[in-house]
Amino acid sequence: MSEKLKIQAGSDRHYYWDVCLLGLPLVSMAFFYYGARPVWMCLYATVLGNLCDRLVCFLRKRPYERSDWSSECFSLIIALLMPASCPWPILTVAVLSGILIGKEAFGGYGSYPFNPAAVGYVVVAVSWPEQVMRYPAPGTMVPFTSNGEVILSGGMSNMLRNGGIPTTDMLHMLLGNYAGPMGTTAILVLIACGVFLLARRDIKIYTPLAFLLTCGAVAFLHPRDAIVENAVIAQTTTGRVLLATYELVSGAILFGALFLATEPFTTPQRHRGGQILYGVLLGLLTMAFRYFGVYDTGICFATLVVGSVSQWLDRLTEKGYEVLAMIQKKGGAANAK
Amino acid sequence: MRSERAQMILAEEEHYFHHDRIFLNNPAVMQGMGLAPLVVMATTGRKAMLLAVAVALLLTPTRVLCSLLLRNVRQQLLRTASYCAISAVVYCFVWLAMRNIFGNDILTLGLYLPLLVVDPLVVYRSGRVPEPVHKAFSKGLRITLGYALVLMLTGCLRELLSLGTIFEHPITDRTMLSLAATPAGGFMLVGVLFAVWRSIGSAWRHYLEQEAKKKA
Repeated sequence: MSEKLKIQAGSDRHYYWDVCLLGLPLVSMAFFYYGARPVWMCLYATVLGNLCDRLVCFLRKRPYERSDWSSECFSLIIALLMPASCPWPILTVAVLSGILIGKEAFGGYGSYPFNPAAVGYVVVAVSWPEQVMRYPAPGTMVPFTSNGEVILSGGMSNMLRNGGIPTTDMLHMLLGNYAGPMGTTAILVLIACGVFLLARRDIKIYTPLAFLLTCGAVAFLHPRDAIVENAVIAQTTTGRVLLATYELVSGAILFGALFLATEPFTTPQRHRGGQILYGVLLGLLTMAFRYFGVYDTGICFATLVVGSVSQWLDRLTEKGYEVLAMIQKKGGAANAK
Repeated sequence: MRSERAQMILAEEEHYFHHDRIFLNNPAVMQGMGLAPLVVMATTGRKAMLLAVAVALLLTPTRVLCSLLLRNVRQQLLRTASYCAISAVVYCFVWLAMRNIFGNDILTLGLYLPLLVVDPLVVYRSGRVPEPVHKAFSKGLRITLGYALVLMLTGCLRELLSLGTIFEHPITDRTMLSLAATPAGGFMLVGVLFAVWRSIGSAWRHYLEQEAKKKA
């Protein structure tokens, strides 16, 4: 295998740089659908994230060192979670609150208990839900200074919440040709991004897989269509699978599985069991927020809640493994006798 | 700076800065007391004012009464329970007074008005050595002033950010951050405010020490 194709073991800094790199294909899709504005938004967010790092170094009276790319990564994720028509002040508040409050206030790189990208998104989603959770239709060339002249809609999540069934076909879903956050709709590109991260060993498959399976299972067993939900499962399997697919492609579920649920410092890293448990909890809470909450992108809120117990999940799994090892040892000793 | 003040600062630096309950040793900013009503309830200038009045009527009388009545009580558990009981009795009169002054507006404070009875701001003194009456009175007043200042600042700021008004007088015609009206936004805003306050306090303290050394 050539040096260029050699798989290298991932490191934390490697992860952030790779996520920044994966922003390119996602932004390219957004550029195709919405024009140049998404590109400027992502560039602006990335530069602002870097400036926040420099500002904090200045306030702490330390020299600015070469970036670990974490601030730029979080800023890019925040920008990709926004609609292409997001006003510039809102994007600014999201990045500032995500980086300065979500990351730097807790001690900077590696010290934050909550995913900074989720913090930034949640702050603006609660403050300005109309601007953050309504999206332009693909093909709308959003002007640079978007002042409300673009027609916005609620997206697929909103339709599911209201009991409707989206009519987007599979090809359009794979290519991202439906209204949603600008970096989260191109499913095919997101799958490719996931494969890249797995191949580079930046992430492990357990958390995203557990998360997606849990979300899919909840959507399959309790679809948001009353007729399908009340019918016998065996007779409505196709309908349930279709509704589960719509649930998984909407509300930034797949995007969150790859870029929010795999952040190295806010998710369990030590044990496979902890990662699976984290994914399951995150999936359950995400679907709970989507079903019973008022915000479409429930994964950001769920990430904050479950992130608060992620280290405890690691310790819990470790205790579980110790207990299992003790039981096996006792069983082995008994058999030996 | 006068030379007497400079000498006092140099003689007992820690004591001097510890005494300043309004700015340098503010009970909320430096000691983290009274955060629950501050973060959850102080969302507007009016609510902050109601809380400040409640603290003003509750804190100093409770502290003075406790210094008089619990002077010889040394058992910690008995002291704490008695402190809370005295605070609760004083609260009854505080509630009546506030209802007469503000009417039904006090209902907007919900549970956080009676919760002041057991707030660390009021009852933390039960864990310390008994103090003389004059100290209880002066410290009570200074702590009240310091906490009221933080309350008013936080309440007005949150109202400005979330509603664009201060004491219901319109200042801007747009809301800058509606999250500021929620407890989550309150936590973030209070955190930022405290960080700025402490950095200003630290710079001021450094300046005072430098000036005191020059004068001395």
